[in-house]
Amino acid sequence: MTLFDKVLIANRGEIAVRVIRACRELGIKTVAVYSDVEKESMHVRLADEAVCIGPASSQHSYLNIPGLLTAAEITDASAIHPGYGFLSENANFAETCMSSGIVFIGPSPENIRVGGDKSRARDAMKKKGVPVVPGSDGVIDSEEEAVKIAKKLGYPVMFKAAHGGGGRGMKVVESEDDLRHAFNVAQREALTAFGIKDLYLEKFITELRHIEVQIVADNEGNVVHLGERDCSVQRRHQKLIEESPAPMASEKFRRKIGELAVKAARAINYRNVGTVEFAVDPDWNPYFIEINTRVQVEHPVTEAVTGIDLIKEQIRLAAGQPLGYKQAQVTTTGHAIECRVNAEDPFTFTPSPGKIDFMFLPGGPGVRVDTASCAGSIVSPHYDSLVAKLIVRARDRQEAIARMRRALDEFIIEGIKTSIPFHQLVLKDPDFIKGNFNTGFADRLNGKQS
Amino acid sequence: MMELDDLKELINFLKNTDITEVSIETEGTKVRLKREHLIAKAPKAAPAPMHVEGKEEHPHVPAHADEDDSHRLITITAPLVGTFYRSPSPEAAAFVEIGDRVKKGQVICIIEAMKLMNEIESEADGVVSRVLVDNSQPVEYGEPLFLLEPIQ
Repeated sequence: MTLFDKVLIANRGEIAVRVIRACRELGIKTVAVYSDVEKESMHVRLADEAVCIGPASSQHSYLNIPGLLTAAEITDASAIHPGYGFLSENANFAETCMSSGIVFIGPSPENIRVGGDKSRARDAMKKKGVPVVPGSDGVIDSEEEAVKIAKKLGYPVMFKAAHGGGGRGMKVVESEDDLRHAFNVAQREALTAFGIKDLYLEKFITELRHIEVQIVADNEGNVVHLGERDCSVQRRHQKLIEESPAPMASEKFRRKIGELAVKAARAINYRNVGTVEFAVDPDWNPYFIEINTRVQVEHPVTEAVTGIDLIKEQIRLAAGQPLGYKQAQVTTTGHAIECRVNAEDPFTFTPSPGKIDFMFLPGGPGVRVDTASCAGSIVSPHYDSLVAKLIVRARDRQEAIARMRRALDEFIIEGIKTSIPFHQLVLKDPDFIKGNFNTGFADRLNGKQS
Repeated sequence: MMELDDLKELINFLKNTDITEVSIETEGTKVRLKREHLIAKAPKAAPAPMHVEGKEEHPHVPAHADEDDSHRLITITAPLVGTFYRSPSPEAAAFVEIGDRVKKGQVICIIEAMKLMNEIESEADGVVSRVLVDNSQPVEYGEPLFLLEPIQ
């Protein structure tokens, strides 16, 4: 089966560059789209063609569905890769592509819909025996109902917006008094942020690890997992460091969480590349959180230990090719770590947009940098603050840590503040080195600093 | 010590003068700037003024502007990506021809996007001086479509 002649990339920044690279290697022509402040950007330079689709504001450019589809039409692109963020988890966009005769490189619109509705996804998992964080059955309609459920779960509990994501729409509640007050506030917040006020309630696990599993699935229903990633180093629910395999995890646990992820994917008849996220308690019990129906920022970590190019897999699977390998044929070797280098103050995390005056990328054995920036690039306040992803691979975790420290020390970015100093601190921290950390780690580390 | 910003400021300052050479020495730094004497200071083709309402200014200079366009022309740019049509249907006459007087708000072309025909209105009064895109060609957001001569 042939792949596509030409793919339009409905994204910007490093992920657009990443997709262009995969297409190039597959012999597929590429079309970049850009907002009128990004004419000089790297994805525009690297693509075979580029179309300006709107002004700087994402709403009128990278989220402009008619503009994107028209750009695909006038350039004769037969498929669209959505990257991550923007329209990647918009079922309506996936559907509109299909009805315009353009292949959406990703899962089915129905997969996206279930993935985006967390209470629906939870219900689907419970039915198939995938453990979920103890909580409400579906959406909570009243304060009284919330009080009753919270009493059963035991405090602390957490309100979550059914249509939330990216760390937003969550509210932790410590007591019944708090809960009565928080219910209405959380509903209002959900409505403002996501347009739908639906909430559900979960037990809040304080000392949890965030561990997720990469899955790949073809149109014939073959599902394989590509191992796990620990993404516990977070601040305000935003991931900062990811690694694979998960530190301190036993082989038994790794096998179990992988199998659960495959079960989760099957439960919703999942297609293409995706990620199943779990909260893992201190006794290594995994609970399903959600399924991400797109390629993730941290996908290179999995690529590094499996040798599988996930973007090429997305394209291949979207073109209808079969997976072509079985679970037993997937092996992971060594250890990989990724640090997200953001344009922000390393300790207060306030954004630091501006011009990059000078940039030197680390290199040498086992080092990969995914970026769309170079000296002279502008980090625009219009878009997210990710400047580069630094990924290292080594024989084991100890060597990977040493390599990451070495690479961070080599990395020079001048003109803007970046999170490199934060990463340097983490990579020296005794608890991080031991692998003894959870989602509270980054805040505690910041506490030690101030 | 002289900082890079100081140097940039100095160069910018010199641009607006007739000075062709300058040497400055402060502690630890010695700077010497030299340039060719510029005879004509005016740029060859002045960028056309933009009249896009409620939008940021686009740094587009009309691709076909040559020296005789150096008086102030108004550029009408594409407000969306799509296919450019000069007339309402293949058989019909063009909305506007060179030399036509157009009013602000008058339909001057169509841009087709997602099978929808979007009528594009002139953003200013003027006389059509040039049509920059051929009929049924794809256009990008912000691409210059027409040059108008302002009405005095």
